[in-house]
Amino acid sequence: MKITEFGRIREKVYIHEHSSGLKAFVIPKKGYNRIYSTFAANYGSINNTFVAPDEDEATRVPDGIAHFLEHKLFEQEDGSVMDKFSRLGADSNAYTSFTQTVYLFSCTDSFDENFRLLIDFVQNPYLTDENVEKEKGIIGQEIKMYDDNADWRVFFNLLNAMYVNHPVSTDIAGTVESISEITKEMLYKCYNTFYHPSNMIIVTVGDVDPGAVFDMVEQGIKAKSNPGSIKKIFPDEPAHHNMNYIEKRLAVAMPQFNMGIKDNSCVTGYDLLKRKAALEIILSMLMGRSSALYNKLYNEGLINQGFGSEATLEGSFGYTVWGGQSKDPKKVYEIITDAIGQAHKNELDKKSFERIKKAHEGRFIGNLNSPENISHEFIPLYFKGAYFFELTRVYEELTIDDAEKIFRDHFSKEPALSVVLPMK
Amino acid sequence: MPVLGDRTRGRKEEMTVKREESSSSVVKLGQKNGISFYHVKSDKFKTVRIDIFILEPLSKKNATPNALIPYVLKRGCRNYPTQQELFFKLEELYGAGINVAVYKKGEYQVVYLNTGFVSDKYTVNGEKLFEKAGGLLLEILTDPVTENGLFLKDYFEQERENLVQRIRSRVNNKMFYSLLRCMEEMCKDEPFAVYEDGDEESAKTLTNDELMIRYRELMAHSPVYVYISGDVSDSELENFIRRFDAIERGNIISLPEIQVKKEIKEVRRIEEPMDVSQGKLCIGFRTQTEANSPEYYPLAVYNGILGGGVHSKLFRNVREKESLAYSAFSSIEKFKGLLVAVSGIEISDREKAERIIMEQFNAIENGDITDYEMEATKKSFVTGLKSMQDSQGAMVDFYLSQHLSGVDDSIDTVISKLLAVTKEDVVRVSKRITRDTVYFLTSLSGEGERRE
Repeated sequence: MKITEFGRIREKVYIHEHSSGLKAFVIPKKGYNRIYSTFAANYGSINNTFVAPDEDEATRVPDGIAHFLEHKLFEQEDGSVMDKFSRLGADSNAYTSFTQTVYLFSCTDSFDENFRLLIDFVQNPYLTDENVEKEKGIIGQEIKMYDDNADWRVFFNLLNAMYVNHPVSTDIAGTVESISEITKEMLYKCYNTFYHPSNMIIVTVGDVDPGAVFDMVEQGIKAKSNPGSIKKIFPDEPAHHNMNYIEKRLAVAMPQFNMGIKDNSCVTGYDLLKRKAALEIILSMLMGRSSALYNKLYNEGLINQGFGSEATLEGSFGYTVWGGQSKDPKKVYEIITDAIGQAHKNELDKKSFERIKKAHEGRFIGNLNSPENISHEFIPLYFKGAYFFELTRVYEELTIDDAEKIFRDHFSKEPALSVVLPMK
Repeated sequence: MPVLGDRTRGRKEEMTVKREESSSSVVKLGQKNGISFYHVKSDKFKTVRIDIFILEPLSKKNATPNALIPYVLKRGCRNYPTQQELFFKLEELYGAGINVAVYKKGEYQVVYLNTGFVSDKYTVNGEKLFEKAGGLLLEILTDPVTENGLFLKDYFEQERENLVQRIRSRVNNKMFYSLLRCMEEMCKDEPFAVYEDGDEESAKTLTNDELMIRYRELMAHSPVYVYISGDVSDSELENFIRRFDAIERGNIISLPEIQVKKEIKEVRRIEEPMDVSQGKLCIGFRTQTEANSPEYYPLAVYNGILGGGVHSKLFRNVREKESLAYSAFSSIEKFKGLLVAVSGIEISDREKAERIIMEQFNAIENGDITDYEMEATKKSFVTGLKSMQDSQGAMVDFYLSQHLSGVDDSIDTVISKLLAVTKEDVVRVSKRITRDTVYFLTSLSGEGERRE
């Protein structure tokens, strides 16, 4: 057991490595009633092409299969795992993102039993032709729910505008057509490829005894050896955007827009953490609440309080994205693109940089109140070789010169624009 | 404080800060001039927050100006007259947030202002933020930028336009919109049908003069609840509370009682076509049970069994057994005593879904409740109530609801009352739950295809 302390933010991480290659983490939260525990696979919607263990040829699977598998893992031969968690008073859930599949529960009592159940069910898929078929109806409705969701559509259309080949632009749940092709055999193949403990982590946040948690991990993980890395295949992605503009009509009251720039750096580890923090500070400097640009757009009635921005870096892909509602998204596009162009002509303002960095650090600290937030941030970063809590070091070390370089590198191409317009 | 309270001479009460322990972690610091102050104690959080709730009876006449007020206030105050200066200042305070919102609890409209910031343990050299951020929040509430005694014209007009857009945008989230519309149709002749942001027509005709009059009335006459959460010293609390003395208060209105019981003679059916690919079926019921009734606890368990989670009848039957929906749940509007069963379904499955939902409803009335459903529901409440204590925001919401319904049960008491509920109790409350309205959001063609 290893312990890493982060004094400035008063957090600690306990780490244990299992012989299978699985890593288990405990982040103690003294005085919290609830324990939040996750079992995560480094496997998400983008992993649709891979070389299965003991095979030489690459396999291409239908879109949405990682998410489909997430749904099916809750079904066991003796019934639904959710029922078992309910009996123990725990809330259980799971989610699939571009890059991970995460199973989780939270509880205030019977932690040990819940934790053993989590470890056990994720290692024991039970798939039949019938139960695979039945799930298609439920997931079909989930897909339709997202089809009617303008926030979701405007964002995925932006990804389609930015990416030429990368599977990040495909809906996480796939389509009604793609999931119709999914079979039990394909699901097992994905499971056997990606759900090896060496490709997984277990993260527990709460007031627990780390030693006792790691003992349960030792007893619960079945695989004993580490088979080495998994061959995940991604297409080459050009530096340029796929297109600059994309639009769609939906039943919304007012146009919604997302703008973004694809990040080509593919950084990982501490560099990723640093670049992401820097990009978010730069976004705030350019178009955050205290910027001239935001206030110009707001005062002209071109954006409202819903306007926001963020940076995502996931190793094989990354982007900055900003957006909200506007009566005239194309005008907003022009003004923002122009302002970015102007910013290139000057140096970034050091005072704004320092002030906004302090504000971002404050919000980072505030977000540590929530075990969910910690898990949500910790897991994807760990899979990219970075520690979430190291952000505290980033805020200490990041200089205006670093930000300047990252600004010039990332904001070097024209943003893409995605718009959802109201129905005619 | 130039713009406040010059219409009614304020009556002042003396207040001494005394700590009345009303439950495990909330302390009533006092009440003066219709403003109640509470401290939600805990030092496990990294943040401090201040939540101010101004309560109003929900009415068509005042809902729209009330909904506009906090957004105009947030545009600037005496020392930070523009939004840009205000946000600049907040960034200096370690990214402190100022949030405003308007929502409803039952037939009360809540005008809400909040600030949250890191506790002094995390500032450089222990810089004290409470007084600064708290002072800023109060300045925003009480000292807006004015010209000729009115709000700045630009701020008024821009925020009025934003309000219109906000009212229109409620269609964007189809699930939430359907639930809302179902409840509005149920209560169409009652105050509850008034939308929390008011209505578009009133917004368009509202004048800046009318808004200022409403603002002054709100400040002078509405009951206010203030919750301070986190690690704050007694002297800081006292100083902060004292600053509220500057607000000139008049007679404080008393909030009307909410009419919960209603006889339903006929079930209404509402169908609303929209350009959607998924239908949303909402079945609205009257629970005939007040928030402060002892019967509320069996009702909460009832809702848990019907549609309150993965163990519930709706989830297990509508979703897991019949594969009709991804979302299938029921939720309670505690203060108005409404219960709505919601599901997102294929448009052609409407009749089947309604039949299966009603079968679940009838099953409970017939006492068809398994031990598992009882146990899982109760455990989920216990987990929820204990977990709530890990979130400052959730605790404040819990206590506000308690204080508004006049219930002073501690979290432990609530837990023990829920655990004491029996199957017979659940069947008893189920018998007075009456179906009121069936609402269906459907596609334009009434079929499962969307035009592209």
